Amino acid sequence: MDKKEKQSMVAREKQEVTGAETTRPGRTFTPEVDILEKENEIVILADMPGVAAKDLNIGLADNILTLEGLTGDAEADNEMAVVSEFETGKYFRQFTLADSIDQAKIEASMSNGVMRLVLPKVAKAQPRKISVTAA
Amino acid sequence: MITRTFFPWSGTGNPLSQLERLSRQLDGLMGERGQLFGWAPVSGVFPLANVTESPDAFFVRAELPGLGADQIDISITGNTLSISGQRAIPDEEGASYHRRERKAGAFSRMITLPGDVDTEKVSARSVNGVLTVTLPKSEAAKPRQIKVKTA
Repeated sequence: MDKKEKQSMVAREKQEVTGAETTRPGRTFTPEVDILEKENEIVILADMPGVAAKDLNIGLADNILTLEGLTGDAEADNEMAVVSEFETGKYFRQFTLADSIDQAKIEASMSNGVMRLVLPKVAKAQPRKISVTAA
Repeated sequence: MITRTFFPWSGTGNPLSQLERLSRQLDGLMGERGQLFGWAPVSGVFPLANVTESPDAFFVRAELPGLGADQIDISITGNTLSISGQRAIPDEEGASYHRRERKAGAFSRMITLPGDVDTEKVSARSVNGVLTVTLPKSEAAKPRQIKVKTA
């Protein structure tokens, strides 16, 4: 266990998306993401609790990647709120991708409310090792 | 007919939740413990929880993304619920990170429910990273219909 995992977690309120108006009612939040780059691919991990795999929409157009996750209402009709500390709504976030991505090979999965999106780089964007030969 | 709006602000759900949100925002302005006016913040403890109530049960919900059902420890003593666990986000091999916003670490929280619960019948399930603990009320805490008799 490294040092990071021993830390205790701190409650943070979800960041709400401001500015853009949506046609659906309800709030829109920014999911927290990790973006990492490997030799052949870019991986995006996003925390979207409450989003089922079927409610996740991922779009890529003109190098703009759009992530959208819809959440259902978890509460039954006969429930009354006693304490409300967090709010639910949809998740929305966009990124501009610098590298060219092989759109046909994009893979996404959802597990326990965490999205894992693998964006493979196209062959020409992959680093090529050029060996220098001594004369 | 005159109709009067008691809660003029718009929005769905419990109007008190709006007040609670405001109170939390004020707590945030005043520093960690909200000592300025001597009140305690709503929680500030991970995970944030929503507590709801139906005639038969209390429901506690918390967002715990990335944690499977077997990684969350839940116990109940009297009417105090305890939720604890640990979230690990291991470094991926051969990767350089552009952004790291997701947080890992240990968490533990106690929630005292506003009424007595039947501890034998408490159940919990985790769906898509959202934990729902169902705590059926004890018979004494359930509302009882009382018939009003005419004289």
